[in-house]
Parts: sequence; C-alpha cells; structure tokens
Amino acid sequence: MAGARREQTEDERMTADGHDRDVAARALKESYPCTALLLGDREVEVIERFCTEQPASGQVGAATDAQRWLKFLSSGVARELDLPAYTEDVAAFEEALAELAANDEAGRDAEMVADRNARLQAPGVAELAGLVPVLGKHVRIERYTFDAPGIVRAIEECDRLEPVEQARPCIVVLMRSVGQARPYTLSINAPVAALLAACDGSTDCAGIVRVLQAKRTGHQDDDSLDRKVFGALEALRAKNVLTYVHPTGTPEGDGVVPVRARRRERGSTS
Amino acid sequence: MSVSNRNLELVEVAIADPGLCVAACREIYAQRPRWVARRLFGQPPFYTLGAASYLDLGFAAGSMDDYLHDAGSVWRWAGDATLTIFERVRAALADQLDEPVEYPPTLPSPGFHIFIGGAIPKNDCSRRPEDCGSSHCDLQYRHIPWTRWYRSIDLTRTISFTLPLKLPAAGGGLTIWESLTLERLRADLASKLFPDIASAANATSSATIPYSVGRLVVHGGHVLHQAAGVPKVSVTDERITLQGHGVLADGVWRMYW
Repeated sequence: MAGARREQTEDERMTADGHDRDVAARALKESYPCTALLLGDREVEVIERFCTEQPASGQVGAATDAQRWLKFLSSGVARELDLPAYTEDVAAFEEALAELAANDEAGRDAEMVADRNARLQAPGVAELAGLVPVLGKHVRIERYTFDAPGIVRAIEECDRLEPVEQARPCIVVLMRSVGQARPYTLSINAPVAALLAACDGSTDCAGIVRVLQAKRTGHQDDDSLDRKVFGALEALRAKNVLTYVHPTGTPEGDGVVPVRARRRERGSTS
Repeated sequence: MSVSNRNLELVEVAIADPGLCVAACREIYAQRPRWVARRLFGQPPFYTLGAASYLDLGFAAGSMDDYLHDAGSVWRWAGDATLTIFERVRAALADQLDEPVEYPPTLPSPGFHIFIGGAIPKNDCSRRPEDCGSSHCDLQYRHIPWTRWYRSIDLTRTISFTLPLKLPAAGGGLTIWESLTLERLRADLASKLFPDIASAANATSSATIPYSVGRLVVHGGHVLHQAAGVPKVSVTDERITLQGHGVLADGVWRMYW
C-alpha cells in the first residue's frame, strides 16, 4: 500500500540481521584487529551480542562502528564472557591508534611540531625557562591497567603473550609522526606524565617547575628539579612530542601558531 | 620400517610423555633471547631456536661460517628435559635405522620451530597462499659441504624428523603427497605436466598424518610434504617442534637441521 510502512518479512529481517553482523564483524576486524584475535572462538557470540546490545545508530562509517565497539567492549562484556582480562585495554589502545592515524588535525600538528623543532636552536637554560612547551593534537596520553602496547606487539609479532599478560599499569604517549602511518608509542613514567599534564599551553617552563615543586608535598625543596624538568622537556622535544612557543603565544613571523595541549586520559589506573 | 627404500616410509615413535614435553617447552621459553624471528614471503613471523640450514643457508643465503658457528650451542643452554629428548631421539633413530646415529660436533644440531598464534599454518589458504605451510621436499643438505668432514656421503637416502612438543588446540600434522616423489616432481615439472609444485600438489591426492605431542615422526624427506594447517588458531596457540634431518656419511647418520 502506497505510503504505508510495509512489515519486514522474516527473510528480510534475517538478511538485515546478517548484514548488521557482517558490518559489525568488518568494523571489529578493521578497527580492532588484535582485539578480534583475542576473541578467538567467542567471536561469533560477541558479534551477536554487540548487534543486540549496540544497535546501529543510523550513522554510517567505520568510525561510528568503531566507537560503538569500544563502548560495547568497555561495558564489562569481556569479564562476562571470560575473555582475557586485558581485552578492554587492548581495544582502547587500538581505538587510540586508529583515531590518531585517521585524524587530519593530528597529522597537521605532527608536521608543524617537527618542522618547528627542526628550526629551533637548542635553547639555553635561561631562555628555556621563559618558553612555553606545547603539545599538539598529534599526541595522546593514555593509561592502561595492562601493558596494552606490549600485548598488541606480541599478537602482531606472533610472540608469546604470557610474559606480558599480567596486570602492569602503564602510561603511554601515542604520537603521530611525519611520514609514519602508524602512531608511535612511548611508555612514560608517572613523573613524565605529570610533566606533560602541566604543559597546558600557557605555562612557561619555569612556571611548570613551580607547579611540579608545589605538588611535591612531603618532599624537601629540590634545587635540581628545574634541571630535571628542563632535561625531560628537551628529551620530549627531541622526539617531537612537544615544541616551544614564546609566552605571548603570538606567531613569531614563521607562520607557526602555538597549539594547546590535548590530553584524553582514560584514568583506568587512577 | 624399511630403510632400503629411497623414499623412507613414514614411521612414528613415542619419545616423551606430556610432562617431559612441557618441561622442554619451559626450557625453550627461557631461551627467548636466542629465538630468531623469521619472515618468509609475507607470512606472519615465526621463530627458530638453533640454526636451520634451509633458512640460514637457503633463504637467507647466509655465510657457512655463521651457520657453523652455531654448532654445539644447544648443549650450552639445554636443560635436563631437552637433553633427555635429544638423547631419546638419537637412540630411537638408531633403533629404527639400525645404524649408528650422532649429532656431529661440527654441525649445528637439530633445532626448534616455534609458531605462535597467527603464524600457525592454516588449512585454508584460498585468500592468501601464505596462510598455509609450503609444500616442499627436503633438499637443504645441498647447502652443506659434507666432503669437508666425510668421504662417503649418501644423499639419496636421507631422513627428516619432527617431534611435536606443543600443538595448537586444533592439533597439527604432516600432509604428504605419497605419489609425488622428488624424481616424479622433477620429471613432471620438466615435461611441463605441471607449471609448478603447487599445481602438482593441487592435482594430486594427499594424506595428513596427525601429530601427537611427544611422538616422533620420521620420513625420507624426498616425498612432497607440508606442515598441515588447522582451521582456526587462537593468539595463545603454540606449535613447537623439534626439527632435524639426517644424512648417512661414512656409515653414521649425522643429524643436523
């Protein structure tokens, strides 16, 4: 009947369900290849549950499907289905890699920071104190309960998982690099994570030292903290994790506009 | 077992119980820094422990000195389990062949293939040929300068052996094309009956001998064969095998890999 919504036949519903499952399976394998491998024999069951519990929103695109998958995998389903305890971390790590790899702004910031650092003269201590360290959108800082990068590396290299499958909280810098399709992964410790968190895009290096010194409650004043902080900042700059701008935040005649740090910490270990 | 046949028939011998195999695997895991990652033809990486002539002298075309440098290395790291297995394999082969068998000190000893997760050969390679193990005859002895150490060498009568120490949940095995001997393959390829070995294999019936952990499988090496694939693997599946070959030289079977 014209204008009336026709009921789906059972065959049509089955075809549609099958299509949803195919799309879901493809999104899983494209966005979370190592997570999909972790599912092993449970893959079909997990896809079935995903299609039931995370119905398509009507939006089209792998990114949307990837987000639905991450939401689903983070919902405790891994524990329910007795999947490896690190499944959620591996999915989150793969999502972060995929998002950075596909993010055009991250690509532009990676080029900008590398270009700027290549032209920066190594600053002296006095000059460094007055510069503002900034991170670009090419950097993400993530926290995991397990060594997600190590687990993904082991799966990809067909190596044993046993040495890396115990819970081991870690903090990871994920970074787009010029000319590299896959983001770079750098494990960092808590002090470096605190340092990066202090790089808010407006505080100069001397100010960051003061912020970190103030947070060191219970510690005696550390006269060498500025040396340690400046050394760490320079090491991070050498890897193009960050660059410096002048505190005015204005372009310096080279067309480079400072960017503000962007951090999306999952806080799973906090 | 008849050993007078140029294409030694396949035999299976119990060598080790599961506990001894697990203990040997632990010793192999402990040698992780010595494992060498191998990447062939776009396949996922697999690992070896010990020098393999087909890889180091064949595919990698490495130097003979480097290959021979590995001689004796297994005796330096092997623990009780591995040493026990090596000795039992030697004794079993001597019993089956009814001739003396040794691990010559001049040659790298038999070693280990380690396939994990996605590297484990599949039984369906319709999407990617690299998913399956290669079909081949064992001709790696051609790379070794036997006359450097021996005078009488018989390369028509060789042996190849596999001792599975750990297998994927879906198992493992050896697929053989009994009628595709080295001589017949050479003739069929020369006469252009088949354009390549894969075509010959596809057109010829094969049999798969399932592997069992701890049971040694021995064959002549001159019949087309491949590591049998499995339908599905998990990332924690492992296929760890002791691999070796033997050549009869100056009246003694000399074992190597």
